[in-house]
Amino acid sequence: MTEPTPVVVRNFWDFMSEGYESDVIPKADSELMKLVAGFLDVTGILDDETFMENFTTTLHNNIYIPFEIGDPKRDLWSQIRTCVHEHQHIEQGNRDGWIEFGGLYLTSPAFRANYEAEAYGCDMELEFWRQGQSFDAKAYGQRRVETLKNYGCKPEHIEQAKQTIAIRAGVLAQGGLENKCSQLAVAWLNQHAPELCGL
Amino acid sequence: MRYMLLVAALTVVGCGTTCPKIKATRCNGQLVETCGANKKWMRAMDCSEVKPLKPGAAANWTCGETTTGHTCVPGGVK
Repeated sequence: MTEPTPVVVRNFWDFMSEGYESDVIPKADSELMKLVAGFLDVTGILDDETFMENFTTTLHNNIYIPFEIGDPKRDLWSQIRTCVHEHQHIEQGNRDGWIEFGGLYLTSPAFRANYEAEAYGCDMELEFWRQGQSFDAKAYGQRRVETLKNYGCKPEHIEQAKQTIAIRAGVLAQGGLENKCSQLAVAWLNQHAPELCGL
Repeated sequence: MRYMLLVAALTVVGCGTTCPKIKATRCNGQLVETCGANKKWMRAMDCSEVKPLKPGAAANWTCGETTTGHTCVPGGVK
């Protein structure tokens, strides 16, 4: 399978960032992220090192990333997928309004699971485009939402998210793509990096 | 800041109408909605936003019911 080049990854991030007017910020340089990491660590939700090194975080249109875009030491395709996932959160804020989105995301694990299920839907849609028809998108998406246990979600919230993934996977299997960021990403990738497509 | 927190709290309390059973589904116009663990209806997909992933896939989709629940089905008229 052809791997994306660092240039493709950087150009893709530029395209999405320009479209959503997002700012990409190295997580390690952010005092705010260090503060959040400390809070999550103290409250026992997530240890600070894991949060700082493994999680990309989006606040409004700021995307805090724990890697350098295009760094080949970090899986390049996953950098593209991460870009789409995080921009879908910006899409959600723009669509629902930032107060509603932020309020629901922060205070309700059920709504948080629902917003994340939509963004994990992007991961699933991109992976389907990459790997082709034989790829089990539903199983992949449902594995991804297991991560929600790190987001203060309980098993019932994860089950709820799995149902949303199943609905999305059914539409995807019939060739339908709903998430705005997946649509933008696929259009760009078809034009600029068609060799990555497995369909 | 207090005003923003109040608005956020009211938003959370007021958002989503109550649904009967977790994981129930329904069509709300072109939205597919699922019943969340908090028994609130939640947006799963907007069928009017579905686009074809590849040539040959349906261009128009609509919310409908299947044997497994509500979802976006191809062939809707825009």
